[in-house]
Amino acid sequence: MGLAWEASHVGWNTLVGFDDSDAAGWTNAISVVHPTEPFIRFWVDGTETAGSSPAYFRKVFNIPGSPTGGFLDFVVDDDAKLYVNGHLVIDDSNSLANFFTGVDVSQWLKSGVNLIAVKAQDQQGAQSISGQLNVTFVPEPGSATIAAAGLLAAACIRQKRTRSRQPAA
Amino acid sequence: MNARTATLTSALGFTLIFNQYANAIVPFSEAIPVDTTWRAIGPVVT
Repeated sequence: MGLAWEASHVGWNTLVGFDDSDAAGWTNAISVVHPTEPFIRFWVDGTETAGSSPAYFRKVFNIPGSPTGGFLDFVVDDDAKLYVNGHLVIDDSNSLANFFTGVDVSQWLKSGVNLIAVKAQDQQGAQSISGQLNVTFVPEPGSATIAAAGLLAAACIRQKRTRSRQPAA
Repeated sequence: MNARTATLTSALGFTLIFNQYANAIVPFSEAIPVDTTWRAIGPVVT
């Protein structure tokens, strides 16, 4: 299921700028409280109703620096293909709910705008996705440089004022 | 933790959290604010 839709929506899992607007039929995913961990899970309509699948999810996010590591935890009920910047990093098709922990996606992350895309498909019972991505990165030097320059300028002004207040020798 | 290294924790379906300079890895639970910015479509039946 979904293959015809994917063929007519090329780029859904690779392009940051893919049209996932309301006008294109997309919506914001809705959380659902699950009885077991992870307690907060997501689905298109905020329910875990069987049968409304496959569903597609996209998240564009910014890394304000150079990534040095990225590890993904992910839970899907039941099957999923998860892409990081177009690279397939999880391919689960055993028709069972599965937990993935510490999936190393470091090599696929980049400074600036990134994309996580998920195709999730239920096979029986409830359905949902959840997880987290932990990224370690070196912040852009720009902000630190600007802050340092600001501190330096403030120090110079303070020093100048101090000198101007001192009585002439 | 290296002072020049920041940790970005993003939970799927949760708020993208910049834990800069706070080397915390947030477990996926309700402790992370709910993110309403994930885009979704489905069911796709073709």
